[in-house]
Amino acid sequence: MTLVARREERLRELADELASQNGVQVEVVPADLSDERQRDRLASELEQRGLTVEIGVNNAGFGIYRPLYASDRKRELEQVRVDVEAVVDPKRALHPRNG
Amino acid sequence: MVKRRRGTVIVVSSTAGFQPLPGNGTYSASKAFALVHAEALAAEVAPYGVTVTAVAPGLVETEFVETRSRVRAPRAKVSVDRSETRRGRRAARSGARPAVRHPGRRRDQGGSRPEPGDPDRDYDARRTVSDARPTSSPSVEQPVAQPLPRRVQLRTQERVCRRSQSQTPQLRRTAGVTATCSPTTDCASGLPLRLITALEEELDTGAADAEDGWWFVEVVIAGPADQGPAPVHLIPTRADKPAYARLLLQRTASPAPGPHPRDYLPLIQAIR
Repeated sequence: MTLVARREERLRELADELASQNGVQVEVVPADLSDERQRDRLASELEQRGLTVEIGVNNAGFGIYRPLYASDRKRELEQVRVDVEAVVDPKRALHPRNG
Repeated sequence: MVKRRRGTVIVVSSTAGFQPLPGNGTYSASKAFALVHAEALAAEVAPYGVTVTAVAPGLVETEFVETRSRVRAPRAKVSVDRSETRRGRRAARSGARPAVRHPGRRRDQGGSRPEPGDPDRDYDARRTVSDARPTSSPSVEQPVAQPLPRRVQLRTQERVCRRSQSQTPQLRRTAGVTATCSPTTDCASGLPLRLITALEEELDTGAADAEDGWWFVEVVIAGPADQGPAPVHLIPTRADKPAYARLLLQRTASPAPGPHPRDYLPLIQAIR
């Protein structure tokens, strides 16, 4: 199992927990999925580590809970990048590098 | 995955994807996007043995919810207010309007024409995660300042269903756990929501230990939608907390090779 998210320290904590509880190997790749280049890096990182994606879970996402007129522009657009762009990115959606 | 002729993609959508969420519009739109996109993708890659599953959970117990409650009502437990829900139900039965508040519409004005809202008054942009506090004045609440009573949410969803009424699947409920639908007309919104609606009363009366909790309804749509009639399995499962209950609605339609959607259950349940 490979965990991907922004904060490495927290990922490692979770990875340790999952590994010890379930006796599985858990890898960690820190990446901000709103960033196209980091999505690229994720793909090459997986390849470098010899990992093949059998099941990919697109779970990353967030909500803002503010009406648009009170929202922060940067944050709002970032949300679209994580919740939408990262989901459809052909480089990530079907993990072609693992083809 | 396509080259290897195997693989599974799980896209986490949300019940938010079935309805517009004022105050979180981009989120609900993005989840509607994710759902429809996943269904298209599922059909594209099905011939290659790759399965795409969209998962549409309701509120789940994660930091996502914590953030939300910190922003909106930090001291409130994240749960549906059952008394409010009951009131809403009684009101609905007696023909009264559900208690939905809108900015610019005072409570005592009932269904009369709303005054124009004042964005500065209706939404205090100074409220942040750290200093948020519950507001007691209904006139300054934003429409999503509290979780909507579940009944109202369902009504919203029913409206979404009606929009595609011509495609509404034939739905037959048997003993509350199995339903049959026509997958060719299984519009993303219609089937699960009708089931959720149909199940609501049953859930409410069927499990005493859930009286103080609220329901997680998870909708899993698997496989391409155009492959002939498909059974719908409703699998009630109990989470470890007795006050919580989860439902998994699972449509098993894919004739393509690959794991059965049931095989994803442990994974999906682990997503919480």
